[in-house]
Amino acid sequence: MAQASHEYQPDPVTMVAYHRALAEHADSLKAYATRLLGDSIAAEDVAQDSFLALYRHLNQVPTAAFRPWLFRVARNLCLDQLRRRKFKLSLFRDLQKDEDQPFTPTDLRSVAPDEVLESQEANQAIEKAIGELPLKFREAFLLCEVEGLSYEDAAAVMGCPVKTVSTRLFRARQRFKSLVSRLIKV
Amino acid sequence: MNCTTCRFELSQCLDGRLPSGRRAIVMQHAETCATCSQFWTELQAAQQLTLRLRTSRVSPGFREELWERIRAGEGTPEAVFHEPVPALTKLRYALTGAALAAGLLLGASWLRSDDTAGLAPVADDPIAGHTKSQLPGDAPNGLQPRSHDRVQTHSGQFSTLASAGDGSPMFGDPLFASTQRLTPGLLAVETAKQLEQRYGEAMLALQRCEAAPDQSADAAQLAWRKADEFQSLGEVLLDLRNRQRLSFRDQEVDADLRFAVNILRQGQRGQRNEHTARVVVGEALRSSRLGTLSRTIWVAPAFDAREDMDLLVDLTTQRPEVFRQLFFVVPSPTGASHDFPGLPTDTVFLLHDVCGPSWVAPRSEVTMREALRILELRLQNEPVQLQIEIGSRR
Repeated sequence: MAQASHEYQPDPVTMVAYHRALAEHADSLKAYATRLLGDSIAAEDVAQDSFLALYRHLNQVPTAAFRPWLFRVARNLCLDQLRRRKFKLSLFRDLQKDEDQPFTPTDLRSVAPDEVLESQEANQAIEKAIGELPLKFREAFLLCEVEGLSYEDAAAVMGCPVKTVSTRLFRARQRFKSLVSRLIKV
Repeated sequence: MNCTTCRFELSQCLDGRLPSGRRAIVMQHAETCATCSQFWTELQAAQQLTLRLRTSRVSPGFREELWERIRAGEGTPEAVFHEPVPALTKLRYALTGAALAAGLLLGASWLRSDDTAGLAPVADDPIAGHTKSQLPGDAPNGLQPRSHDRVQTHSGQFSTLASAGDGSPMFGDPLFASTQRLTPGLLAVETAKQLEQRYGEAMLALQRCEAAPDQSADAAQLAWRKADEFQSLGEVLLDLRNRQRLSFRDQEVDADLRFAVNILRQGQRGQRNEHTARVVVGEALRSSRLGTLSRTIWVAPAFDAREDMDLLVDLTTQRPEVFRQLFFVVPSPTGASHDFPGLPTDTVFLLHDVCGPSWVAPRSEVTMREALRILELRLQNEPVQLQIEIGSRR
């Protein structure tokens, strides 16, 4: 890894924006990388590398563009890792092993054990369905549907036109819908 | 409304991307169509499922580790700005390049052997009651070489079209001589040519803006209009590049094009006057490499006909306005306007059945043939009287 060529001191306003980005986007960046890599430890490294890269480029990135910029960097790092590993896309295999992570936003105390089990199975099925989407569709799905990025931001992350994002998202949704059809209660 | 279009737009509805008028039309269709209605309900339910996804959290020491790395002066990871290209893709590029070169060599040798045999077409193959040698386009100077062969391969259906109306054959006119099957490769090449043209027109308009202050408002509007068309065409090229259907031999052209499209996209939000034309359009089109972009593109040959078909359907449904800038649409040879119900026949190219591309005439080629024809007529000292105007074919 290269050493920073010169020490850049960002101004206080930019630093506030950076801290805010760290608080707001670190988790979602890790989640995005986890779903691309299937490895939460590597994903955390990716998230950290992304923030490090952002810090080194604070003078070039407008604060409003922090989020898509971070996702773009994370994407590049993930794709680079996938390429290096000659990755067989067996995603999410580590997700359930990652027991040290506080993964449960719901309050389980008030829920019956069978409901908890059912909920866990449903979550696994949803994660598996996302993992089965082709990489291009999965990217669009994760960025727009899961992380809630706008089409424009997702296009900047994926390096493609906005219309391509909408097409990929449409196709991803179609496939996702058919993959989780048994969970859909209409 | 077509169900396929409706479903695509329902997906956009889910994100609030459709204008209210369009949304009303789509929802009206969804209410009357049971399949689309079910699709809409399931789409919403599937979206609800994603809300149940667990959120992973970074470890408690994440920030401290990050600050330590920053304080230690660690630089940006090298992979950050890499656009990884898989080895398989590189190999595929190499193989397709070799195949293309072999194809070109074969084609060139075929052309040479054909030239030595003479340009006279096959006389025993009647087209619409004429032998080919009787057609006026078959001038011995060979200005329209082999275009008839291309037309002829379409199961003879163009023969009825060729003898349209009064029964006079139309193969001699530039439109029909330029007609060919629509492929992603043709699309890419024509887009690049039209983009170059828009670049030139926009730059001329900007020059006029500077040179003639009294006409600067009109010139600025023209520059913006051409820049908009440039942007649409550029997006098509970048889309094709992202789908790995073309690449730029010169990486700087790639970067210049992305830069231009991004700047113009941002410029759409602001005011449009002489000042913004000079600043935004001038800045976006500052690289002269964009004026010769078509020389640097490399088009990947088709691997899968179905993939080609998907690509063409995607691009034509998404960007009918761009298709009008690229091609003259050749009317359906069968006269059937419902070959592919999702596509209105007057706005996009016609698909012949559901799984076959249609026939189009690239505008640049038609224009070139038209110019050659005028030149030929002038050289012969004959009065120039064009029978067919390009504009009337729209």
